[in-house]
This record gives sequence, C-alpha cells and structure tokens, in this order.
Amino acid sequence: MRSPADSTGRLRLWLERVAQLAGLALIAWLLADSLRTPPRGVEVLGPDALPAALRRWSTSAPAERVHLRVDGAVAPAHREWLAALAAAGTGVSWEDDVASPLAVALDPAPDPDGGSRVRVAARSGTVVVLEDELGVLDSATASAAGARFVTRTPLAGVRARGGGLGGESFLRDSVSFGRILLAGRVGWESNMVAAALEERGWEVDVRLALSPKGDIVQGTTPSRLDPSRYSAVVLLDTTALIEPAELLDYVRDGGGLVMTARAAESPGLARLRPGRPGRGVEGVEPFDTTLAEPRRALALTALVTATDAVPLELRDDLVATAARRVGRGRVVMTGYVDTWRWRMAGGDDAPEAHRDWWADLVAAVARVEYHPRPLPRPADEAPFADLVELLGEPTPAPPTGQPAAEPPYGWILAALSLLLLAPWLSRRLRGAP
Amino acid sequence: MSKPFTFATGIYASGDWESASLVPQNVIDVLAKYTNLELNPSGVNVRIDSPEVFEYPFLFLTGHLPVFFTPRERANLKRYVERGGFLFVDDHNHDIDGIFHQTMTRELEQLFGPLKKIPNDHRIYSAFFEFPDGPPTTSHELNGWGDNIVHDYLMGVMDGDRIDVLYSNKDYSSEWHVKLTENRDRREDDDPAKIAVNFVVYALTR
Amino acid sequence: MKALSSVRRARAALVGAVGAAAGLWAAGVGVGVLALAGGFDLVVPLPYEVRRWVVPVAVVAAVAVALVVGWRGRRAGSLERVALFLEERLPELDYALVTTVRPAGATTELARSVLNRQLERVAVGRALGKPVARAIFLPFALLAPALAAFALLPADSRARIFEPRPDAVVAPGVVMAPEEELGSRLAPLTVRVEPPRYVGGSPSTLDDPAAVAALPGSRIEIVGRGLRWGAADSIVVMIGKAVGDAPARRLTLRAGGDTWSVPVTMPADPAVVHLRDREFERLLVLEPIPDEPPAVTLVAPKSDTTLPEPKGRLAIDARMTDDFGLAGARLELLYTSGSGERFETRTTVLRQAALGGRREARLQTTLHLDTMGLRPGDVLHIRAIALDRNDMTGPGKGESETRTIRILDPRAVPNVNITAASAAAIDTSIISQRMLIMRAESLLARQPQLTPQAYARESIRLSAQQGALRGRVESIIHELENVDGVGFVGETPSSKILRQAAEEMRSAETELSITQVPMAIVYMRKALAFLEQIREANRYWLRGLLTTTPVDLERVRLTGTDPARAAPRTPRTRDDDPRQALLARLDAAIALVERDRAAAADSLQRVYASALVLAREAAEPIRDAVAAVRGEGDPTAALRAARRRLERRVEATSGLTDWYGTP
Repeated sequence: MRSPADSTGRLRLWLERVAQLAGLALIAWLLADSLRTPPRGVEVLGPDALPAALRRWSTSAPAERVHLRVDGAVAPAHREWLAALAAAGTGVSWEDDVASPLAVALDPAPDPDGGSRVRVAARSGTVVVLEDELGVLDSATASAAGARFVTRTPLAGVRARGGGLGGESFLRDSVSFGRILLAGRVGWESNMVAAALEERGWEVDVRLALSPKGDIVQGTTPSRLDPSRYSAVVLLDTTALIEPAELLDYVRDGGGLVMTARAAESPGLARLRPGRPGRGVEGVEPFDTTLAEPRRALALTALVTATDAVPLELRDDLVATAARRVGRGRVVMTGYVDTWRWRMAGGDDAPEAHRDWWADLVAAVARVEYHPRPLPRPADEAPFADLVELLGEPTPAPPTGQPAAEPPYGWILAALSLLLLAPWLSRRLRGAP
Repeated sequence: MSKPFTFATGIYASGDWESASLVPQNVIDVLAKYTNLELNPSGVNVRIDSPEVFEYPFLFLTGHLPVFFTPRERANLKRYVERGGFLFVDDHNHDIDGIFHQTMTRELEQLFGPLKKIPNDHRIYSAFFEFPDGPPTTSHELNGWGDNIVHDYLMGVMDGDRIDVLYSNKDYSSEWHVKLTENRDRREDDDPAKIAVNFVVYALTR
Repeated sequence: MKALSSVRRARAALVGAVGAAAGLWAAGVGVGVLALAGGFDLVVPLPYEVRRWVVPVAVVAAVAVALVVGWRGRRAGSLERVALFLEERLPELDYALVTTVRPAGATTELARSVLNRQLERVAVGRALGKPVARAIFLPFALLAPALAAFALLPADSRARIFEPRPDAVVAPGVVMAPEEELGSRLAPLTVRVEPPRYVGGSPSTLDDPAAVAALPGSRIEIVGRGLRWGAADSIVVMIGKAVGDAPARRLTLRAGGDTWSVPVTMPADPAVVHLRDREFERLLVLEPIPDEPPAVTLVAPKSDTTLPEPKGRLAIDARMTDDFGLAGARLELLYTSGSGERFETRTTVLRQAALGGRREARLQTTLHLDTMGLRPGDVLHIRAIALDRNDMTGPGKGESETRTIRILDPRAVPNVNITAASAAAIDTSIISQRMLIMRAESLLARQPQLTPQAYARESIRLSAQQGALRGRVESIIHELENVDGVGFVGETPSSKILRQAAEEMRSAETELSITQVPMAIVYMRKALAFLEQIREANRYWLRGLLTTTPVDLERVRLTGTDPARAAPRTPRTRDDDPRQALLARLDAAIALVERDRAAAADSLQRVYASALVLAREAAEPIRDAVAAVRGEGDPTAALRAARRRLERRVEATSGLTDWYGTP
C-alpha cells in the first residue's frame, strides 16, 4: 500500500516532469514565434518622423504598410530609402499636403557675357525664393508660367524654396557661341545695336548699306549663311545685302533671326516674320527718363501677329515684340523704332538696360552649342516629381488596422525561468542528481 | 517714324556758338550727294545743357570766344560721350594758342582726359573718301589766317582706336561757312566739305 | 664652566664654517655650471632645448652640493665630536675636554680647575683656524673664478642662459632647424601716422592695423619688435600698387635695439605693403584719402547777362571753403573784344588775397563798367579761383562757374536770349497754366451740380492761383530786365512776350474773381500761348541770324561723282569688367577662410586694396571681413555683403526670356 509520503513523492516527480516539459514547450513556442512573420498594421507618419522610422524599419521588422504625409521636403536619400523599402515588400503610400509642388532648373544664358536663367515651376501665387550658398538672391510670385530669374553673375548652383518644398539645381552645361550678322543701313540704330552686342561679348559681322560707292562691312562674307557660323542674324532695315531666300534657308536650318518691323516690310520676308507691321505710335521727345517702362518713350510700330506667333511683349493692347518658330529655327520681331534713343537719352542705367534688352532678343533665338559639365553632387530639381516617380501617385491614407498585440515576452521569460529552475531545485532538495 | 541723321550744332552759354551757321547745310548737302543716309534737310541748334542734346548723337561745337562750360553743360557732355555720342569741335579761329583753343581744350581734357594726336592713317580718313595724308588743309590755313600754321593732324579723345571726341583747329568752320550756292560753284574735287562725309560716316559706324 | 663654554664656542664656529662652506660650494657649483654653459654657448651655440635646462641644472647641482657638504659636516653639531676634534689637534689637553663633555662621573672641583689651567695653556682658536679657513677657502676658490667667468660673458650670452628664447637667426644666413619653435616679428605692429605739415594735425598711432588711411604725403612709420632674437636681415618690406603690374619696390628697414622700423610716405593711389620675415608674411594696405580742392562759388553776378550799355557797377562776390585750409584766392576777368575772325583777349586779376590757411573766405570787388573802355560786342568772363595749402600733391585748385557778361551789339539781330533758370521757370509756368485751365474747365462743367456759393468759392480760389502764377511770371520778367548791382537794364524780347502773358493772366484773374469763368478761360489760353511762344524760341535759342536753310535732298541725292570706298568697320572691344575678376579673387579668399585663416586674411587684404581702386562700394564690407578674420570673429555677414556688392543683380523677370525656344 502506498503511503502518503510515496504519493507526495510521485506527485513531486510528476510535477517536476511536467514543469520540464512545459519549459521545453515554451522554448519551442518561442522559437516558432521568432520565425513567424508578425501580424502587421499601417504606420502613418509625417516627414519629421521619417528618419527615425526608416532606421527602425531597417533594423527590426517593418510595418506591413507605411503611409507618409508629405507637408514638407523629403530628403533625396529618404526618398530612395522608401523606394527600397517598397521594393523589399513593405507597402509604401503617401499623400501630399504641400501648398505647391516645385521644380527648379538652372541653365546657362545663351549670352557670351555669362549669366544664368533659372526657371521655377510652382503653382500660381506661390512665393518663390531663390538662394545660393550665401543666402537669398531674389524672390518672386509665381505666375501661371511659374517664376523666372535671370542673373548676369555665373551661378554654379541655386536652391529654390516655395510652397513648403525646396529644390536644388546645378549648372549642367557650358555654352559655346557662334557669331552674329548685323544687317541694315548705316545709321544710329545699327551703330548702337552693334555696339551693344559687341559690348556684351558677341562677335559681330556687319553688312550696312551706305552708298552705291561702297557699303560698310565688318568680318568676312561667307557664300551662304550657316547656322554653325552665325548664332543669329539681326536685321534692322530692308536691305538688299542679304537675300530673303538665303535667310529663310538659314532659319529653317536652325538659325536665329531678330528683325525689326521696318525690316519686315520687305515682301521677301513674309514667310519668316512673326507678324506684319501695323499702326505706328509716336515716341516721347525728349526721352522721358521718369517712365517706369523706358521703352514707352520709343516710337513703336505695332505688330499684327501671325496665327502661330507668340506675343512676347505688349504695350497696352499693342503687340510690341513677337516670336515664331520656323523650321528648326526661331524668329523674333520687334516693333520698337530707334532704340538707340533709349541708350543715349534714357535714365542712369539706360546703356546697360539697352544692352540687356538686345542681348535678350538675341538670346531668345540664338543657336548655341551646349556642352555637359560635371555636377558637384546630384541635383534635386523636382523633389515632388521625384517622389511620384519613386513611390507612385499620392493616395489617401489607407484604413489603419489594429496590429496584433505582442506576446508578453517578459512574463514568458519569467515563466520559463520558473519552469526550468523549479524542477532542478526540487531535485536538489530531495538529494537527487 | 525713324529719325534721320540730323546735324546738330551745340548751344553753350559762354561763347559764340552760332558763328558758323552755314556749316550744317553744306555738310548735309555733301552727305546727300554721296550717300543714301536718311538725312534731316535742316540742321538743328540744341542747348548742350538740355535733355534734348541726347536726341542728336552727332554734335558740332565751334566758336571764336573763350569757352567756360557750366556744370550742367559739363555733366551733359560727359554723359553724352559716354553713351555713344560723337562730338566734333572745331576752332573757328584757326589758332593754336588762341583763347578758344586754350579754353576749349582745357574743358575737354578736364572732362575726358588728354587729347591725343590722331594718326593720319586712322580709319576716319578712309571711312568714305580716301585722305591718305590725313586731314585736308583748309584755304584759311593756306592763306595764313590765324596763326599762319598748317595743322597737319587732328586731335581727339580716344577709347583705344575709337574716336569719341574729334578736335580740329584747322578752321573747317570757316571753310564750310559759305553759302551753299558758292560751295557748289567750286569744282567738286575741291569740295572742302568731303572730309565731313568721313567724319559723319565714321561717327555712324564706329 | 669654562671648558664647556669653550667647546660650545668651538662648535658654533665649526657649524658656521660648515654652513658657509656648503653655501660657497653651492654657489660655486651653480655659477660654475652657468659660466660653463655660457662659455660653451659662445663657442658652439647651444640649442634652445639645452639652454632652457641650464638654470634648473645649476640650481639642482648647487642644492645637491650644499646638501652633501652639509651632510659631511653634520658632526660639527655634536659637542662630543667637537671635543674630540679639538683633542686631536691639542694633545696636551689629554682628553680632559672629552671628559668634561661626557663625564664618567661627577667632576671634582680639583679636576675642573686642572682642566681650566690646561685650557689656559692652549690656543683653542689655533686648532680651529686652519680647518675653518680650509673649509671656506676651497669653495671660494671655485666660486670666485666662476663668478668672474660668468661676469665676463657678453650680456646677450647671459640673457640666452637666463631668458632662453627660441632663436631667430643665430647668425647671418643661418636658420634654426624647423623643429624649433619660431615666432613672428611682424605682429604686433605699431603704425605712426604723421599728416603732411600743411594740414597742421598731430601724429596718431595705430595698434596692429590691417589698413592705414591718411592723406597722400603723410609720413608713415611701421614699427615692429623682436630684433634681439635675431638679425633684421630676414625682414623684407616691399611696397606695390594695389592694382596694376608695376613691380614692387623694396623699402629700407631701420634697426635700433630690439625695434625695427620702416618709413614710408602715403602714395596718391592705394598701395599694399608686404612684410616678410622668414616664413611669416603680412600685408598692410595704404588707403590714401584725397585732399579735396577748394569749393568756390560765385555768388554775384548770379547769372550770365547781356547789358545794353557798358554802364554802372557790377558787384563780384565769391565764397570759398576748403577742408584743410586755403592758401589764396583771386578773382579773374577775361575780356574779349573783336568780331569776325579777329579777337583780342586780355586776362586781368581783379582782386587776390593770401588766406593764411583759413577754411572759409570771401572775396569781393566791384567792376566800374564805365571806366573799362568797353565796346558793343565785348564779352567779359568772370570767375573766382582758390588754392589750398596742399604742398604734397597739389596745390588743389578750385574754380567757380564762369559768368559771361556781354555788351549788347546793336548791329546784331535782336534775339530772344533767355537764361537757363528762366527757361526752367517758364516750363514750370506752362505746366501750371495748363493745370489752371483744366481746373477752370472742370469747374465750368460742374457748375450745374454746384450751388452758386460753392461755384463762386472755387472761382475765387482759381483767381488767387492765377494771381500767384502771374506773380512768378513777373519775377521772371524782373530777372530778365535787371542785373544785380546794376539795376534795370531794359526790356528783352523775352520779357516783352512774358509781359503780355502776365497781362492776359491779370485779365483772367479778374474774370475769375467775379466768377466769369468762360471769359477767364479765354484769357488763360492766350497767356498759355505766349508762354509757349517763349518756350519754342528757347528750344533753339536763336541768337543772331541762324540756320539752316533746308537742303533739297531729292535734287542732290547721289549726284556726287568723286570716287569713294568705305573702309571696313572695326569691332568694338569689350571692356573686361574688373569687378568680375575681383569677385573671383574674393571667392578664392572665401574658400580659404575655413582652411587657413591667416592666408585668407592676407588674400582679403589684397582684394580690399584692389577694391579701393576698382569697386569702392565693395571696399567697406571687405575691410570688415578682414577685421573679422584677423580677430577670429565670424566674417560671414561681411563676406556676403561684399560679394553681393560685386555681383551683378539677379532679377525676377517676365520679359522676353519667358519664351524659351528651348534648345
């Protein structure tokens, strides 16, 4: 017959074994749990929390899905990281809360004097701030066509900020130029336009009609107008010194043509000109230096634009300057008369402003060569577009499911310790090995 | 609507600016004879201290009397030349140390720096007609008026090779201050105003 | 007891001798080490690393020797030992002293009296004399020559031992090894500036400046220190222009004691002083502040005038000022007479004065026209000239405007001569008269909407305004018809026309005062027409029979037959913008700031000197940047301001460049 002591002993043994088995089972369960993909939910966060979250997702199990609320700049490295995360299987979506997407591009100006053009695409009404490494350069309110800046100082790189986003662009190209051919009649206009372009750094060939006894030339006379030699032709008057057919071929082959309304009176240029000369408006004499728009003191032949021409400058309701594509080339036509009066009689900055304006006219059409140059580091010209390209279009935030609760690993460890230690203790207490 | 070339005579306060009033029509006449330039058939007189002077990028100054520019005249002339205007000054005295020469050259040098001798092979002497020996001698020089010297060069304020201010003490003002009909009675190859074509063409094409 | 006291006295003497010997030995060894090192250094210059240890070694050796000597003489403090010492040298004492000092038992009175009698018979002092003398003499024999040797060393050598410094140049042409610690003798500098004598100012002193601004001709002395550490041969000072390729010129350096100095005179153009001492370099920019010439104003006559007759008196009044003092002034009259091609000219000094350095002065005189023998057609030019006391680059000469006084020639065709000021006043009057006409017309149009009282009030207000304008026109008339100091000289064609305009204005004023606005407008328009007539004449300022019969262009066009061949045009050269080159240099200096501040400061100083000539508006922020970089401050704001002033502007544009016919 079993004594009560025997029963107790057997119960004790049984409990020891049960505890050991339970401990082993717990260890097996823990092993299985570590191999299991944990139940996931959706993490929603803003860009400020992104750096820490990316680190966490990369070093421990990531969330099943991530949704990013973009209300500011997301660094290029973080964008790439998110894309990698998505490629690794994490669902990544995002929605934008920015006032305006933004893109910036820095190009060299087609101008031998150097300088750059900066184009910033942003929603109309966005205040765009342009900066370089030293600070703010200028600011503007974006129109429907964005914001544009010109600078005569060479810029290696710029940053643009606006609508909560910022972009960075570097000068990707250097430019090489051909020559300009200036044609017309001897007069103050040809004199001062040639001076303005040469002072700006253009190499100018000149063909100016003066007299049956001789015309004024400068530079060699090639047999045909070649766009690889001449970046642009500037035609100031009707003149027999250049054949209209030759001009047409030149422009169609890619050359640029700047012409005045007076030059456009030549019937042979009808196929080139962006418009025909319209009504005339007298200038102001003497030149009014107080005008906010100095060109309003100039006489103007308004342009009646062709259907495919783009008006570039208006004076009141009249088209003052217009442009047009012809074949591979471009033509700009201006109706201003005797712009030399602006240089001579204008305000304190008139000579430079006159040069700038003529240089812009030429730059709008000039055929130049672009040569790639290395960037100091990768640009970030269109952060918003880059995000779309990497992660797809923005979508609303998905419904966030409740993630499964994690097992209480602390308690489990305590239980395991107890299950392993208790049988051992019991054996020791009873003298067993 | 385009403004033609206009021969402008400068009005200044201190001297007898108007002493060669027939010069403009002789110059216009010879320009029309030989070129297709769009020309104003009349000259204009314009105050050099006025904003209107800048509407005429070719400006002629002459006189016999001492010249003392006012501050406004000086400021305007300086701005005028800096912007591309061409100043042609002729000593109506045909004097090398006469009071017009002394005072006018002093004023010009204060404004623009020293007057330099223009080499006689400068482009201005072949800008239209060929003058291989430099500026043609005037009848006043040959007749011994004034200082009895033939001045065989002109002077100028130059920016490199480019002449911005042309200074003459050959007394072209007397040479060209004749009634137009008298001038036309001369044989054409004696037309003393032909050098003016060079001056104007050079000014328009420099 | 006498014997005991004798031993005690002997002990004291011996202890003193030991102390003195220790001291003398210590001094001797210490000085000996110093003298030895100094002597060795004279022959073979010891490096700084050795010399800096000489004094500590001497001190340590001296202390050690003193301790050794003291230790060896320690027994001199023991009475027993002293007694034994004496017994050894005085055997006749028969160990009585030792017994006294260390008695085996009680000493009887008899024994004591016997000892005392023995002591009386011997000379204890004799026993001490030789040992003490020997103890002192030997170290003294070492100390004396060591002292003498050390005293004979040159002061520089002693200084090199006692105040060791890293060597600059040990000997001409010999440079210390690079691992030595070398200091710059180019900082700090003191610059003394003495203005030119004619200014009369007192000299000033600048402490370690980067730039010196002073009048040209100022005497400048650049002073530095440090010659005691090396010869002045390695200090080279050159001066060169801030801009241009002219070679730099070496300046003479003067040496005196520890200081060196370089005298230089402030040039007329900005210059850079380049100081070099071995591998150390430094720049100092010299910025001349020009002495402005005197400002001279001709207060009277106020304007050019044509006098109908050479009568009356003409007051001449000139005021002159100068920043540093006037030397003298004069009133000049240039008189020209003649016609056609024949003119005579005469220059006269009407009044002159020595002004003795006054900063303000006034010169007056009166011309009596009646007595000058003037004739119709004569021209007088009047001006004032002042000279300052600048005897360095001047004297500076200031001239007033020249007034032209003409004597009317009745043979000349009447003219509409008008002064510039009057012409401007007429222009303003025309604008005002147009405004008045517009307001009168507007009042007339509003009459149905206004009450009679309001209408009358407006009309009367316009009348007052017309009256005020009439007053201004009348003052122009007065100016044209009167000459200061002479009085009324007669009507001119301009003043006649203006008088008519004023009459029409008076009529308009009257009509407006009785609310007859339509009638008033008629008179107002007439007045305007007269004003415009003056203005139109003014545009071409006809004087004499002038112009300009039109040429019949069509008739003569291309009728010339002479041959011609237009020469080719030559292109304009584009001027290099010096500001762009300056900007590039500034950018290079900015890049250096993080890496090498000293080099950046030097580069910025050179850019500053060039900016003084090429782009003055950028000079001030560059100067601030130099101060910040040299003073370990933050130069960012100053560099940014400098760069922005050199850069060409950035503009937002909506102009032609909107159309991007993209490449």
